[in-house]
Amino acid sequence: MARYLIVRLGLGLVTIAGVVLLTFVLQFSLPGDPARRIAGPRASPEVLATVRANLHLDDPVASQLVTYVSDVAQGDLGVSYIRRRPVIDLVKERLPATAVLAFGGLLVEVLLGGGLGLWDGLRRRRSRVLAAGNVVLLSIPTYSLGFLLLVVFAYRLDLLPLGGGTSLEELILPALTLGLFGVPYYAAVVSESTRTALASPYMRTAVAKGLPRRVILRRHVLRNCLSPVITLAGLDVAIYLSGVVFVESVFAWPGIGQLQEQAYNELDRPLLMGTVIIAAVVVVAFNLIADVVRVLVDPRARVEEAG
Amino acid sequence: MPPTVADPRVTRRTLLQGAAAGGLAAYVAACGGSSSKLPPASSGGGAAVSGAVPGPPAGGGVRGGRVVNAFDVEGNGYDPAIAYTSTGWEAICDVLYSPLYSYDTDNSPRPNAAAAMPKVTSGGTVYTIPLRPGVKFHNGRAVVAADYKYAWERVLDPKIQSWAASYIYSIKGAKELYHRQAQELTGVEVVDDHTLRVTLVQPDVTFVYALTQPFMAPVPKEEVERLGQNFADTPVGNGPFKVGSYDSQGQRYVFTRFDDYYWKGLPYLDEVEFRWGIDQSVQLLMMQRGEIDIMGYGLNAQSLAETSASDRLRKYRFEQPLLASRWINLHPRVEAFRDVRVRQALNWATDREQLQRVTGGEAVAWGAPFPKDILGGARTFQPYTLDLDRARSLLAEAGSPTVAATLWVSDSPEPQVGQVLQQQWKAIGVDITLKQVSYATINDLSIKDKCDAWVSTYYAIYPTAIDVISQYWETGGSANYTHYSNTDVDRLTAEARGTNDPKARNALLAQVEAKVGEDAAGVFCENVNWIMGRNPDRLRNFNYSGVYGAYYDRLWVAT
Amino acid sequence: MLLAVLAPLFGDPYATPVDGLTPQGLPLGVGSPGHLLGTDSLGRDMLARVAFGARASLEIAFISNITSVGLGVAVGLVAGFYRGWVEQLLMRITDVFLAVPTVISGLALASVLGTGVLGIATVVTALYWAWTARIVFGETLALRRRTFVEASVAMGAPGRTVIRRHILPNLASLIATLAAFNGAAVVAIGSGLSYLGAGIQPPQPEWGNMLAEGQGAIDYAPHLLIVPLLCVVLTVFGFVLIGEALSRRGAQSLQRSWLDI
Repeated sequence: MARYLIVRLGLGLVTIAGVVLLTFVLQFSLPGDPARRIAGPRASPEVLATVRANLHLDDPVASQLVTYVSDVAQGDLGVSYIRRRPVIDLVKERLPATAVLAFGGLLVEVLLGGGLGLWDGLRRRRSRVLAAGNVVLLSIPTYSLGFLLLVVFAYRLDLLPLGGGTSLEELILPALTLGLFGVPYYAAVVSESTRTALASPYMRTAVAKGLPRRVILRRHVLRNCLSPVITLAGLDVAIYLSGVVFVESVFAWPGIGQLQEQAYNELDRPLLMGTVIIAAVVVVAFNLIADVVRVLVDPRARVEEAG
Repeated sequence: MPPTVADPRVTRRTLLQGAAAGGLAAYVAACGGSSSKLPPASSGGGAAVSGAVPGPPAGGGVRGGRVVNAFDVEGNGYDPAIAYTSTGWEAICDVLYSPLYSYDTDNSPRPNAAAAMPKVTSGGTVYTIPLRPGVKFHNGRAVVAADYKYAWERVLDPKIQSWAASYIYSIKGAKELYHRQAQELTGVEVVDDHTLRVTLVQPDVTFVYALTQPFMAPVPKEEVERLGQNFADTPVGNGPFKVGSYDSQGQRYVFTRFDDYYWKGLPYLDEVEFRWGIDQSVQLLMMQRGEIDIMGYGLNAQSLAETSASDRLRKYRFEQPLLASRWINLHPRVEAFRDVRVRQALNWATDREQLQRVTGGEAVAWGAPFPKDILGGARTFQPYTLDLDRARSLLAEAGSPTVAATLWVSDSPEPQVGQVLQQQWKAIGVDITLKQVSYATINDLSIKDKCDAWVSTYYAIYPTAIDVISQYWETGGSANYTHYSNTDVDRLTAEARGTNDPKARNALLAQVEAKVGEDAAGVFCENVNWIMGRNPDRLRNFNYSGVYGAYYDRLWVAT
Repeated sequence: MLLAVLAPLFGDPYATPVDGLTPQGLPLGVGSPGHLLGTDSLGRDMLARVAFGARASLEIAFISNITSVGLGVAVGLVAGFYRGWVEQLLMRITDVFLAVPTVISGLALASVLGTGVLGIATVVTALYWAWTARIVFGETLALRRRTFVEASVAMGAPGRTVIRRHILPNLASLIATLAAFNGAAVVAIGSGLSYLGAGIQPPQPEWGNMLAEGQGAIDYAPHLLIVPLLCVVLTVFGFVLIGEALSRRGAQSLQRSWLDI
């Protein structure tokens, strides 16, 4: 296990290096002149030239890359062009809110999606109602879904605040919005796994042994569902933690997504790169965790990985 | 859940403030309850204000209360030398800082932190500015002439990267300082604590307008040194409100009343709060619930439609015309656009009334180059209107060339304008392809002569057409990417720059407009309005300037 | 699909008639004379636009679904079945694609590849294949450890045969469901890209850019959102039913539940 972990960690670093390289290249394909975004459209060509020189924008790309990579290696993500503060500080103050929202959304989709999936999987025929509901949930743009929830629960019924904070009360609607979009995937995957489990030979054995239904469900059906749910959850946490722009924007949730949105709009390259790198670290970390957890819950896999 | 693509909507305000740090408003009198219905200054809680505060009426308010202004996104900091968008611009105007002069209701500058208008001598090159006594920084220290010199030198410090540096190039020694060929700003002389003497390189009637801008406000050196990097977030100024608490994480900024403000009796409010990161549709809900009082961004296309569709929401709309105009640039890289008759034909083929309808009141039909009210009645040019026959005959005269071009559009309302124009011009056989990209991209590509046609919206920060000409219509103008050039335009503009009498100056500028218009240097479409949201039930004496934003110093709330 | 083919019958989706808007400049509602489904914010006929929009949307959905699911399944299967360095190589590449936030990669790609149907389909593929790969990989790993798979591997059956006989049929149903769902998500991505100005360019109608326009109009012109939304829902529901039918044929052996005996 220890060796596996070390190898995976090493490869994780390689992945992050790959991301740094890839995004560094990608940012050059983004249109617009960052100098003009800093100095404003009214700045004269002279002012722009000064800004470009200050930012080393006219240096050869290779030398820009070397400077950047060595800075990042030392934990320095640069200073935001627009906010003129260290990127690391800006990202740090946003991370807690993003994490809270991510786990809130995850909780909703795992419980609701998993529950519905299990119910569907145990039925003799798949539920058409669930399938249709799933499709509607997938098709409705996240922004509209969030806004509808906001209008109904916060504005019309006045049960919840309109947003703009990060309290538990204010978490409910954004977490629900985020989670609802994921529900169809969990429902489908869990339903599928349940069916597979129910049809498998070991299920026949278990039923033949006369085990009580509850035990069968817990021991065989639920366990069979765990692996895909963990994969999905690992992916989702990573995606959520790297910023969910729509939900954050409807609910004025001060997370990474809003920061990214602004960084893109303003062509704030250090901030953009900074959020990308942080996101990459998070994604790699959670994929690693998901893999490790899967190994832990599946004894067979544990033997295999240790070997 | 699989990945989805995000939505960094760039709103009108980003563009507006980006393009200009606000547009000059033809001032429109108080909206949201007139103060005369309320108890006058002497009776009851009304407070008296001493002196002639420039701008809309300031007296008769009731002390206390707070106002919340919501923005779509945060601006680029709060340093007066740097901020030019959104919350930042609004905060350095009429909240944290007060400039030497401010525009009055007739758009002419009046003394604010200065004691009187500058004395102009030596053929218009020397400005002697007397400072108002009793003006204090928020740290309690009196503002002296040296604080202005320091602030202006800061704007010209290349390390600060101020957008405004070239705006004060007319001061002697400014250019040298910016290029580090000098140690100080030689054109600014501190005569004594309350007198500044500024020497210009050559006469420039727009210099006094520069003095109305927040980037020319005084800055305390000791606080810049003490606060270091934090000065950009929590600066110390001389305005009606001081920094209360800045919460970057919680996306709100609270400003509190500055008791030592030099206009005694002002401001009325105890607190002004800015919030950001809130979508406009949600802002509208919050406004109805009384959670916010002002929507600081201009309304976007959807909010415009929403507020005009619903009776319930209409009262929250606040509208005033701006000194701002919109046109389509035609680049000579398209051969047909080199023919003035083709350009004129496009102007005659444009149905501006329909454009006005699809932009939800954000703009009104206007077929002339300069903003509607900028020439002070001296206009001679007859604006273009819809006349398809004339358009067709002009095209025939030009030899019926094939006209095909790509029109580049960025954010709302440009895509709407583009799509409608595409249909309208089809009627005279002109084939337009649309390309929607970011504002920054169009800017970049048009500089490099890679765009056939694109939309420009000009917002004035100086109440004279000299600014729009020197950007767009003069030979070598800073944003003249179509390379339009007319020697008459250049000659008349140079003459106007040295003409002190406004009437004579506007007569010259009107001639310039006629040249630009007859040359059909662009397809002139609209005069742009400022439309925002505010709660008329709660706000009293709400006034808005296209340059400075809301007048918080004289704003008060119903009790 | 019928809608897409018959589109020209429903009129010109580009015409902006002066009477297409109310005097206040607002879209006409559903059932207005001459405009069965109302008009959009420029006064264009919604019926003509959804009909024409079906073409671009269905093209994008089909192409990108085939490419992203195909690539994702291939990578996930191979990595999950063969393990070892193959797994590490493939899955770390997958991680890189997953790790770049979609906002950035989607936009950057769109600006490189252009905003035509093929460009958008490529962007969607780039965004989705890694996601699919990761899920298929996890499932393959789980199946790999099943007795019947291990047995056939132990019996010396070639890897390709095992994948075809035992793994693929067991994944078929999941893949079909994911593919159907992706059909909806593809339109969502299209609408996201449209917001950023990187989607199908106006004035060409596409369900994604129509949804993008309709999102903010819930309050004053809900049909701008509901009309394209219904189209997407109906289409995707169709995909789901097809997927279900396919998976039933693919894995008949799994269609019984021992618990119900």
